[in-house]
Amino acid sequence: MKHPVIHIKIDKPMPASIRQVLDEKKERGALYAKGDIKTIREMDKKKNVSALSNKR
Amino acid sequence: MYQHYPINDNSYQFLTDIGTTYVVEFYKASSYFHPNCNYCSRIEAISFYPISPHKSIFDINISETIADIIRIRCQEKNGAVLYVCDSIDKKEIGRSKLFERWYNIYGGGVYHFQSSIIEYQDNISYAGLIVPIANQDAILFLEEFNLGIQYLINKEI
Repeated sequence: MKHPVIHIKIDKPMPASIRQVLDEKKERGALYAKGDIKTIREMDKKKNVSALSNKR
Repeated sequence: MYQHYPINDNSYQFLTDIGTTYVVEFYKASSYFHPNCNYCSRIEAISFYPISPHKSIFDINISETIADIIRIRCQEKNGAVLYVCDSIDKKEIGRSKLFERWYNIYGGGVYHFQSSIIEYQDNISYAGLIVPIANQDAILFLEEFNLGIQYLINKEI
């Protein structure tokens, strides 16, 4: 059984915001595959700090 | 299904029979929605990764465990989950098939599933929304997802 799928072709490059999400997924996947949890936690820490400073 | 446990506010972990640890992470999915969206704060994206995988084998318990984590997360956050794939490593077809399999196993009467495939000039974006039917805002989550697609179509680079 198929679920509903919206399929669209757009004549322009992928938006930078989506590319950034996908690049980050790829980077995290590569780090996890290497077992480099330390770098991932450092990345998360930086992200949390910057999210907190944006809230101020 | 494997026993899973939270490792922080946004991540869960489980260990498979062959000794591979999986991490399941949830994160903000705001890039996929309109900046003025009302319900997207309750829609999180999901990613899952094996840590130092020994080898790649098919194991139904892995997808069952991830599905259970999605169920729990949707309950806890009173929200929905966005499943994002990419075509960076050319494995996107397998990943979207996983989404299809979840739909066939878990979709009936419990979840709405809605996917989008947006083919850009340089890449393809696959995204699927998993919404618990029992959630009173289920239809609003689906509308938000569709508005997000329209926003991405019209968005400048």
